[in-house]
Amino acid sequence: MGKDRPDLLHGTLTLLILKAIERESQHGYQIARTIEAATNDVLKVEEGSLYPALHRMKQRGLIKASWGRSENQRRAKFYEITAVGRKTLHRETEEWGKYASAVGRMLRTSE
Amino acid sequence: MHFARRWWNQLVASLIQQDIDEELQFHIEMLVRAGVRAGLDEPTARRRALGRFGSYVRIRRACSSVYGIAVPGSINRGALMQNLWQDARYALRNIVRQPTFSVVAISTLGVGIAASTVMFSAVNSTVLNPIPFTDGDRMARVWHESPSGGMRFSPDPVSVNAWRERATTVEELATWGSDAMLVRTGGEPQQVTVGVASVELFPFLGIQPVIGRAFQPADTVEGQNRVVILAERHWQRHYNRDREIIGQTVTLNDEPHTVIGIAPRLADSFFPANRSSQLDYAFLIPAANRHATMVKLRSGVTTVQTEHELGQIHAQIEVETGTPNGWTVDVSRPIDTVSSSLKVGLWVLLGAVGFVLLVACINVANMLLVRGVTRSHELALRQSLGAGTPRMVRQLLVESAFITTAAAVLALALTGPALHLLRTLAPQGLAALRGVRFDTPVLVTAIGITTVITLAFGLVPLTQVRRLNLAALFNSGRSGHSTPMRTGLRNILVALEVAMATVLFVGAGLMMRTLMELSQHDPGFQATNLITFGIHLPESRYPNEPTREGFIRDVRDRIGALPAVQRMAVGGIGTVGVMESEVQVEGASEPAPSRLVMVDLVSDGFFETLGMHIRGRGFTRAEINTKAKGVVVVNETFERTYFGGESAVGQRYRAGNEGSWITIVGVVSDVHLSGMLQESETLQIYQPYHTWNLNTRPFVIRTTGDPRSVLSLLKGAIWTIDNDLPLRNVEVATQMLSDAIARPRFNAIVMTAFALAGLLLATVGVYTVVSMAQQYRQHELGVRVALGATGRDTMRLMLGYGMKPVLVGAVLGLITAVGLSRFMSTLLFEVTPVDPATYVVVTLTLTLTALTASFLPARRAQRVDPVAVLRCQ
Repeated sequence: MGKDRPDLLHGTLTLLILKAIERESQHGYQIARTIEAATNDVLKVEEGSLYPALHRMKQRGLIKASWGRSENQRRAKFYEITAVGRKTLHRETEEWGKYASAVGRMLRTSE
Repeated sequence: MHFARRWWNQLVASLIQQDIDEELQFHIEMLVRAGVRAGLDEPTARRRALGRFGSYVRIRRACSSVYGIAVPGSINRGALMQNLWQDARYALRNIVRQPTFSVVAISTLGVGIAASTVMFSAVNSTVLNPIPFTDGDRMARVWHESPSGGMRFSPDPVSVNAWRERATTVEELATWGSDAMLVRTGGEPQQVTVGVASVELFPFLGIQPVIGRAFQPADTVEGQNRVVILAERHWQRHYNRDREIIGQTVTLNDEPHTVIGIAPRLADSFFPANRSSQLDYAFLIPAANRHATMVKLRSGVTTVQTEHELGQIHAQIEVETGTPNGWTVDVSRPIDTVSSSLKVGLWVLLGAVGFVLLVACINVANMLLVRGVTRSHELALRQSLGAGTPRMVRQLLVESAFITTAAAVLALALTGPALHLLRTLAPQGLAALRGVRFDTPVLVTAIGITTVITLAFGLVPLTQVRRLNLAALFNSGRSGHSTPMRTGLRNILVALEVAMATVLFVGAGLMMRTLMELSQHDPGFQATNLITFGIHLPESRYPNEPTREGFIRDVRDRIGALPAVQRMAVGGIGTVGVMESEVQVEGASEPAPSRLVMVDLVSDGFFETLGMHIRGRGFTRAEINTKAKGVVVVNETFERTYFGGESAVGQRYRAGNEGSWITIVGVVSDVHLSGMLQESETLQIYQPYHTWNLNTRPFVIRTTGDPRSVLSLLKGAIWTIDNDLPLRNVEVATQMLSDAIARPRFNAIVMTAFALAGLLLATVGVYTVVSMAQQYRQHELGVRVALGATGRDTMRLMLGYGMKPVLVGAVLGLITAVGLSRFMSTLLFEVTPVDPATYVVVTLTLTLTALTASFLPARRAQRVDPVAVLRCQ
């Protein structure tokens, strides 16, 4: 496992999580799957990073957590984006766009 | 607090961790599910899921650390909390399931803690820490002392002013005092004692008025000084804490005084409440200077240094003013002035209550031991099922924490009423006790006691589990033969209980005997139907001796004419004045050294009115009318001291080696209000009253019936002469006698209560031991009966179980009592600390009580049916 998969840059996971729950609240497992599906399994979310990140984000007020029923009627913890989280998402997305194009440009020129 | 916070933090942490656990478990479940959907069998799917998930513990710790929760290693904190919670519920269930045990244990400990808290309060606020003010430990009273050290006076204002200006060892100085003032209640003039506070007093004590303001220098200026501060208790009782009182006026000495503030209760230690006259010290008035003087020493300065400095300043003043009087200065802390017999009494009572608390603890320990028989089965079982020792220790601690916490709560609830009872019990003679306060150190002590008890008791059943062999436990089944060790321990505890109860009982017995001796004591006069009061003749209306003499004659005529009055005379019971004097008997070469002599100023008929035994004669009406000088009546102690074995009647003496000769015309018996040791050697002389020219005169009146019912007639007779004269210090002689032995009575009552509590507890202890023996020896008893033991044999056997520790304990207790009672000797009167009668009565009482306690379960043992018991086996 784990070959040719880029490590997530610091801060990127936060951004991905916010993006994953931007439209609807999801539990941790769903978030992991959503990210993997959206990136065609290029980005693999490690549980060891996911859950601490979720709890940190909750502490920072980016997301809210509440217990609800999962699709198979089990008790699961759902995460929902907050207004702060939404603002952060927009700002970071922009930043990320600049950053990504900057890096791309750099890499292209050196090629 | 610290504990509570940790508990709370642990609780929060455990909730968060549960949350995290559930979330992670859900994730793993979802992974497993995905695996199964992909066609794996469940175990494989689970294995893969777990493998993929990585280190559960690490993830969990990483999540927890977000909340600042440290998870050391792999110990499951959540589980620990759950355990604690379980323990708490388990403990509560246990307590509820055994109501008798719980109620007895909680109430025993609660009462024990409350009693010791109250006694500690008493000692704390009278002996250890008598000044409840900031920097109280640096405060000291200042006195002038007579050359022989026998008399102390409040210092004169000249010295006080000099000290205030010159003393460097003194940080602050304040004075206070009291005045008699006239208050009219329902038209009747009433003499009340009014507190006088110097302007410095409130700041000195660091107290603030509840509302309003304290005195200011301007308040002492003549014409602006009609202001008054009310005591908080008076404000509460008469004005219902009405804040509008500020600015209103009250009438003192027929003049309006403006209320400017309410003094806090703390001021009561200076201006104490008086039960018989509620208006005493209800009012405080301002003054620039008063006689009673207190100083706050600079920190690091000793009373000796201050005494030295103030003495020097006083000597300078004497030189400057040219009025040497030879007085020295005494600076002493209030703790030094609490009378030593009060101190000893309180220490003894504190010791006694300590014993009661110990007996209570032993009793609860004993009950825990008994209960431990059943508990140890359960604990051994749990141990075999894997409960570790720490876990069981914790469980037991939680359980006893519940019991002791409940006991502490009960104790705190009881303390208030108990303190109130103590204050009520403490009579006039024990003013110090009426100021007893419940304060923080006492509370801390109570909590300390509770904690120690918790720790000590928590582990009692565990020591037994350790001894229990599991195999033996299961072999013995539920009948649970008690091992010899445990029986031995219980017997030791009962013996200890009995020993302490014995000591308490001996103490109480000795004090009761003292009280009996004291109340049968001959006071030297006949107290029945005797009443005394004083009348103060104001200078304004009675400016000179003839006017005062005229008034006294009128009073004697009018009151003497009342049919309810047998006799009356001028003079007081006890002492009016005191002087220090050398006495030179006629014919002796030089005067005897200076000693204190009490002086009573009396009229003709005084000794007859009091019913005193007299050799020689009293004063005649002619001697009084002609203002005769040089005649005196002395008491027997005076006669014995200066005339050896000879009669003093007709002899002469003079004060010092000059002055005129005084003829002793009569010798009367000593007057002892209480008969306590301290006053037995009082030198007393009686002089015709006009030899000292005073504004205030006491009267004694013998009535035909209850003097209280005659009082209104007496008042009426006086008010027909002068409508504005209040009676002061109205006292009925029998009450004076009763008050005089208030302290020994208080000691005896409290000690007896303690002894009874100790006896009751010890009885419960004996009963428990014998009942347990009866229960656990059913089998043995059955066999004995089957083998031909009679009911009497069984009874003897069972009583033996109970009585053995009792007798050992009683002997131990008697020996201890002999040792300890020495400390009480100053509290005893005509009873030796090893009074045989007391010891015999105590031993009999205890033995009989213990016998009764053993008898009931022994009776049950007698009714053992051998067939039933043996079949059971």
